[in-house]
Amino acid sequence: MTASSIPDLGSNSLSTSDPAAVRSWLSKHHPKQLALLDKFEIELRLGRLSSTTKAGPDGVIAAVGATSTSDRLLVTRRTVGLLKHIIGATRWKNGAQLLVLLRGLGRELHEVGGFREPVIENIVRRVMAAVREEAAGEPDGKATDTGRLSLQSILWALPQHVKSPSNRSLSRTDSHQRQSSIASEADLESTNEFPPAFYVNRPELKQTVMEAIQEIVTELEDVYGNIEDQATNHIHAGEVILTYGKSKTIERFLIAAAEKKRTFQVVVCEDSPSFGGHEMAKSLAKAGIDTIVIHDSAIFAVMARVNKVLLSAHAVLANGGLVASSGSNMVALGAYNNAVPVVVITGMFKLCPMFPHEGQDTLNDLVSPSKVMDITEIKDDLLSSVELINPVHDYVKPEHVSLYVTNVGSFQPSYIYRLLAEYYHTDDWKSFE
Amino acid sequence: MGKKSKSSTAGSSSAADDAKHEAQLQAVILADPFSDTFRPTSFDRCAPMLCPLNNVILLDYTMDFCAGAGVEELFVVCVDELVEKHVNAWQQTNSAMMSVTVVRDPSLTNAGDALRELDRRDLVQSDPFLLLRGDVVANVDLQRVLQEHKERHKQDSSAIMTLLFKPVSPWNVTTPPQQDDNKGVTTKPKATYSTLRSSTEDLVVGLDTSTTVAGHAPRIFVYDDQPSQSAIKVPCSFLTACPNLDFRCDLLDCGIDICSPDVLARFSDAFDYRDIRREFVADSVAEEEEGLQQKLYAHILQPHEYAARVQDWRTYSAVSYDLLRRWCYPIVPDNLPSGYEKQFRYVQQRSHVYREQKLGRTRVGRSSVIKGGGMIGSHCFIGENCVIQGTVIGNHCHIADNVTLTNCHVWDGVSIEQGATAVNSILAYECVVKAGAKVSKGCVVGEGCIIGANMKLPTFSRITTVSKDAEGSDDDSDEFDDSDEDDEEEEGTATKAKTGSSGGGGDGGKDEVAVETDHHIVGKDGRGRLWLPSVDDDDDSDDDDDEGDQSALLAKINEMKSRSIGFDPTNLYSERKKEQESAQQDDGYSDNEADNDATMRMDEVVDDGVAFGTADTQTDGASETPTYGRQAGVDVVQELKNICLEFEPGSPMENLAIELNSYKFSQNATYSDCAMGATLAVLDLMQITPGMTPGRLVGALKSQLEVWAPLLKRLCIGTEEEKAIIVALENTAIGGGDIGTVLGVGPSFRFVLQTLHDEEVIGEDPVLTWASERRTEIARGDDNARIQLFQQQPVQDFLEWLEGESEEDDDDEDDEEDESE
Amino acid sequence: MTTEGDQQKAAAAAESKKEKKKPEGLVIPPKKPKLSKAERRALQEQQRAAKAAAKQQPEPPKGAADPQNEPGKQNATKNDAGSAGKDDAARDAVQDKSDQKTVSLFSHLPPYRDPKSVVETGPHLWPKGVSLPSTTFPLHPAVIELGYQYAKGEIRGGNARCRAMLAAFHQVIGDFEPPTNNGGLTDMRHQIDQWILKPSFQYWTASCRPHSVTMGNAFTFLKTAVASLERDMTRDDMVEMIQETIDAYIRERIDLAKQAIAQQPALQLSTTSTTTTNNNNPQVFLTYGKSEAIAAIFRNMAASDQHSSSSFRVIIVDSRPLLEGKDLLLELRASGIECSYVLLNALTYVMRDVTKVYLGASALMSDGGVLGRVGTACVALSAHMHHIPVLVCCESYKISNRVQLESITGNELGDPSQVAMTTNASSSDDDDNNNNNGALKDWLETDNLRLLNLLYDLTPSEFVSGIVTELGIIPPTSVAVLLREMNPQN
Repeated sequence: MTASSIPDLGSNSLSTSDPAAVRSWLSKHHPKQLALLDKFEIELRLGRLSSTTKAGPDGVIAAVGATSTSDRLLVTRRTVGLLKHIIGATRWKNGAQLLVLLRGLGRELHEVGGFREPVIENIVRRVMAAVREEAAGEPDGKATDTGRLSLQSILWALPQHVKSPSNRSLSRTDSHQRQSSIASEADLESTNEFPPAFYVNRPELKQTVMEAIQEIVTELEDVYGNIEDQATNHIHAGEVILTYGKSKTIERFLIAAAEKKRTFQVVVCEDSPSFGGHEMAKSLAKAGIDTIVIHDSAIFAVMARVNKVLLSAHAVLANGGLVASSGSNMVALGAYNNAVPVVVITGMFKLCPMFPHEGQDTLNDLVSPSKVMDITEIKDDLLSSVELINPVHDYVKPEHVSLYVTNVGSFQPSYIYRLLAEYYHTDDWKSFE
Repeated sequence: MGKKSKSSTAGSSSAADDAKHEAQLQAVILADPFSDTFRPTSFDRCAPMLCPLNNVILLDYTMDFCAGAGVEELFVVCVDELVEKHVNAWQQTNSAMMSVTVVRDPSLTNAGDALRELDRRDLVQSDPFLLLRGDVVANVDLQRVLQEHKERHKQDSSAIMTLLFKPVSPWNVTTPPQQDDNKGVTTKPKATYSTLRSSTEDLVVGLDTSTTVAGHAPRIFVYDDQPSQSAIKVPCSFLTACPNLDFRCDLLDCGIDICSPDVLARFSDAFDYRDIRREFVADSVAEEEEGLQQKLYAHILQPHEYAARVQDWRTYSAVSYDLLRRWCYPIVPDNLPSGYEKQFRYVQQRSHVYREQKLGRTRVGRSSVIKGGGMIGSHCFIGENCVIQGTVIGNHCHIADNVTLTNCHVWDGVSIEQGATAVNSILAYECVVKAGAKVSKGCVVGEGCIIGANMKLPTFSRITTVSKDAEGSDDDSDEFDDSDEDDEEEEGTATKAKTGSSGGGGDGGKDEVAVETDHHIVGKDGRGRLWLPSVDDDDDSDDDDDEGDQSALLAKINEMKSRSIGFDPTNLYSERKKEQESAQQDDGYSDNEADNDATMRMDEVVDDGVAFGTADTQTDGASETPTYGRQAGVDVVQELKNICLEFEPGSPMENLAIELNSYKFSQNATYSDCAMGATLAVLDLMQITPGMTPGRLVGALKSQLEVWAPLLKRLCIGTEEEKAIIVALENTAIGGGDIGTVLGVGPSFRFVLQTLHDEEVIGEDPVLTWASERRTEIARGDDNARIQLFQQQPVQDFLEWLEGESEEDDDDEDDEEDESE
Repeated sequence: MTTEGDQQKAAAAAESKKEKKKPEGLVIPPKKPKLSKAERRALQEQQRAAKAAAKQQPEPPKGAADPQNEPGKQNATKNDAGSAGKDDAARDAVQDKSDQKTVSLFSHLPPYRDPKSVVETGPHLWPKGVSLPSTTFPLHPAVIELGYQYAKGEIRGGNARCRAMLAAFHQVIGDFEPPTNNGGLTDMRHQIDQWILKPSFQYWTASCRPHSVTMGNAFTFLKTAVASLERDMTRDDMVEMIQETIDAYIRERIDLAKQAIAQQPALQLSTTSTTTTNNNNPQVFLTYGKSEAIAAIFRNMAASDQHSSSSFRVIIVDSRPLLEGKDLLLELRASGIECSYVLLNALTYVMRDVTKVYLGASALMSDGGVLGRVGTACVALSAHMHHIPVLVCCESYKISNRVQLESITGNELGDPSQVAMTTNASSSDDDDNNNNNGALKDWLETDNLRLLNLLYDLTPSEFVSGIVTELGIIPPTSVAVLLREMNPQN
């Protein structure tokens, strides 16, 4: 999926979104940004990106293997920070170049280990979408544009149309720009990846793009706020609510409900072997919520008394499926069998435009088995040949999820694909492989 | 740059950022094992640190680890230019964050020299700096450790070093720490062990647990990884200093140290330090003087943290296995070190099998089975009906049909033909295993070697294409200790001469064929020679004659086996356990009072040294001499004597010499013991009957000496041994029994003595020294059987004559000596 | 860790106090230091109650004991509810005074008893309603020891507990000598029943740990056996007879049954596995926790496997706190079986390759529901949703005549502090130095926070494809039939 090289770009500008090219380009023109990227990549590779380094002497939360108890929002923020910095500092003339650069970055990050942290790629896509909007429409028309542009690109998302619709949409939406565009691009247009308007050099584009990114940042800022506002719609007095493991979002959701004078009982599954549930339970109890901690094994036993199950998300997939911390699927199944509604509480930045083709292995990762069996217990070859598996995530089928409560409202799983269109441009859906 | 990055990724409280506040963090990688455990591949195009571990160059793990630890300036100390080339290449492809400098000096022969070299060049400023071996694979986040070390060093300038340890399953279960040394006790019959630990070290660390607040690193008081030792000496002062000293034998030394620059200085001061662990750490920890103490601290890793060294092929496969099993997450095959993700992308499938997907082009026959824990690189072909289990396969490998690979490491470009099998072995770059060949467990097939069709490699054999002289020239850079080159060479040749009879690796006088290839090993169509370790004199044998090399070679071969893949250490450990326990029992009493001051023990040793002979004193000696490795309760001299007696005349004397020698090694005995044993044997063989006249006696002795003189002469390195002969004689004389009564009478003793002298078995000096000793005893006024024997007239006459003679003609004595040599 | 220890002591103290307060007819040991006024009052009314109870009904109450310690009742559930209600009332009174960390949902279950409290009250406990002769007939030391082992969880698992109980009875009855002064009880059968069987069983049940169904069944069997003896037998004959019956029970119902299960023809590899020569898809069996029967099955397979155990592998799913799976793992590895070991969170991940699921059970409900080690239901459920056959293996003497709809009605509470531990080192003594880094180490201090450690859960019969007993493989629906066949007396 290397982008076709664009002839009218200067030698000192990026022509292809091949990671290597991006690196070399950065190292040629923007060494500082490259170093920054390297730093980011190393932390990403070592899984320290998501872990707030409060790896105290007790070592409960340490860098390695902390992926299960880590804070996705933090990763997102840092990614945005990186992109902001690179976009702001690098030299690019028009939307096309910027998009090429962004896609290059996306692929770079994916190679380095972005596949572990889907949110990173999501954010890159978000920014790309924003850039497309900015590059396409004039600043004021943006608001109306988003809806129509993406809606149409949905309608035309069929593969064979991937190129044409955007042009067509342009021809409708901002025809005046087409006149204003340079005539020489008319012939390039067929070969080019992006609509002609993107090749217009617009000095003010950087300004507007930065503003757009700032909007994304602010949106990320009040993700929690928006979610908390809906707490009382979903938690009623005297309910018994079961949640699994630790999730900042759910924690704040529940606490918000408690603050609104709702009295309810929370059953927290410990989420062995990472024991996120313990911290969760502690903070909930501190907030005055009546909390019960159970072993994961007791889930089914307790489920009969539970009114609602809250799950957190590692990623939300295009089919409405859910990738959550390992063991969640067991909870979902139990709830499904006891006709208990499963509510997933998550920020929209976890929405991934991909489908779970590999089932359980989707976006999954196996971490060190040291928590399954300590390495000191492995005394001889008999034991060392035992296969120990410690997956981080579980895939939950959409039919086992009743509702998604997000920062932009509550939706049923079958509606997720539509949200994708709101967030990302169809041309950016394809993975950064 | 550092600042900018911080400002940019605002809100990120990342670990690496914090490191930047302080001065640039520097790290030193010793990119050479300074040992020969990786041979013979260490002669090939890949230096030890450059061999691929799970298709990633070993050194790259370490360098990536440094980058992850926030190191900004990295020094790679190496001896061969291959490493230099590789590192420079790495620098090109990789992050600009870390500047890498190669410090290459071909003359480096050990870690100590390397550090001294560093100090000389005065490169390392940062305090603290990281000191790693180039073979470290780790996922530890060092920020906290560095921080703690800094604080410690601030408070106490003598806290110069922090070592990282990983708890693994000990090869024997620890008992709760006791006040006296407790190594021998901590054993249990079932051999449990961790393959991560090299079979040649037996690490016991004494930690001060009293100070261990959670996370606070305990101070190291004892560091001892000598497997031969059965007891650890702990000065009283330590025990009083820290009441709860915790002895742990379940720790794995990760080879990651956090040092203050003083460490380098220390090495420069003590110019004879060679090994960091065995010498520097052990010594500085053992220092009793408060003033001189250098405090070393231990950081024990959390269960989820992983760090291990690839010290030999055995640990190589163990670490590879752990990486595949994701023990070292996130350092796993599907998350390659920086630089590699550009070319490769391994995707994990069920049961820990990883397949290269980016370049791809790998075809696997449908009917082939690929089982638990393995990797397959790009551009490989795997035929039908193969069974491949726990095997890492590099790029561009060609594996034909019906091949069976089990727990192997197949490097790039290897081709394996129809129906071949390989178990627990390493197939280095571009080697070929022809159809139907069998590579047995523990083998190492060097680069470019060819194993002929239907050949079966003996277990633990190592094949290489590198010629001997190439090896020789390599030696000086690879040896543990600074044995100068020609020494190496001659020993090399000695090895050649001996291997015929050594029986090591089942070879039959391979070196007689001067060509590179041992066809009887690798077959007619094969390539490569069998490699055997060369002897370096780090044994206690300070002699250069062949037997020394002989048994030393055997020892080396055994060590080589114990460091190969698939070696089952159960016997080794049970052996070790037996030794240690037996030593423990004997030390039982001495430990309590004697152990705490070593000096007293030494005295006892000296006494025993003088009082040779009768069984009981001998065992005492065995039990109390701190020279370990001798089975207690064994009368060594008696044993040696028996060996001699069992020796059937006719067969060459060399064999007996070898036997004696190897027994001497096994029991850690001296040549004096051998000499005594031999003498006693001779006396026995003389079939002395009561009433034997001195004349007959001498006749019998002469006849015996015709056979035995050469052996005795060979055994007699110096006067010490010759004197031992006399003492043996003496002891038998006063020992009673038929022999005693016969020998006991002056004339016969005198004649025997004289005959021995005439046969040039013993020279004057030993006799004279012996005489002088006895005289002093008389002067001291003690009177025993010995003295009486000594004072008998004939003996005195002999001595007088001897002394007289020795005055007049020294020179021709010398000539005779020369002839006798 | 020291604080931890203190907390445990504190907990123990609380428990033991509650223990005494419980209107359960336990006489405070005379050697107990000094009694507060409240306690003394409590004690008096307990005694009064005890007398009253002894008068009005000789049969033991369902007090804190597991509601069904007298099988042979058809209306178990009703009775259950009733007793639970009584119990609640009783305990609430206590709760008002000392806020203790019981979960209201499960307040009908007897709270976990700290072994320490058992030590204190143990030997002096006289179950209410056992009318004894003036010469109190003391509990046999073996009984007390076993009780302590039960309480501490040293003896765990249905079979083991049942065996231990029978062995204890075997010994005690062997030692039994009819006293000269028999308080009106001339019939030795009644003596044995009244002075040995009942008291010790109630001691175990009431003050150590609620009895398992296996124990219950075995006990009823023993009672009936004793009752059905000839009245005019000599002491020795009687003892010998009883002991023989006990041995027979252990041998036939437990040990032989296990073997029979392992050798069920339907379970043999040759029949189950599709062309074992093809290594590409070997049989993959999944099991949960540890069960004697299942271990036997796999060992039998490995023994009969001509393909050197390459034709099947076993995935052992395990979960805290007991981590019994580790024992099974060692056992299977020792017999050379290829194993994977995962915790419950990886269940869905590994379920993909599984071809069959074997589960153990501690009891079979007569409606086909399976009462098993907690977590069994999760595994069965997951397998059921993946359409993988679930076979429950249990000896037929584990069949109970109770019916239970979900896991909450009849269950047992374990030591809550085990939930707070964050170590996966199998629950050994070094726990308290490992778990001190857990987030919940001070759970006793934090308000609103309670820990629940259930020991069993009930697997609905629809998740179970077949139940393997020594009598063959039956669908869960026909358990009731089997039950009827086996003990026709009811």
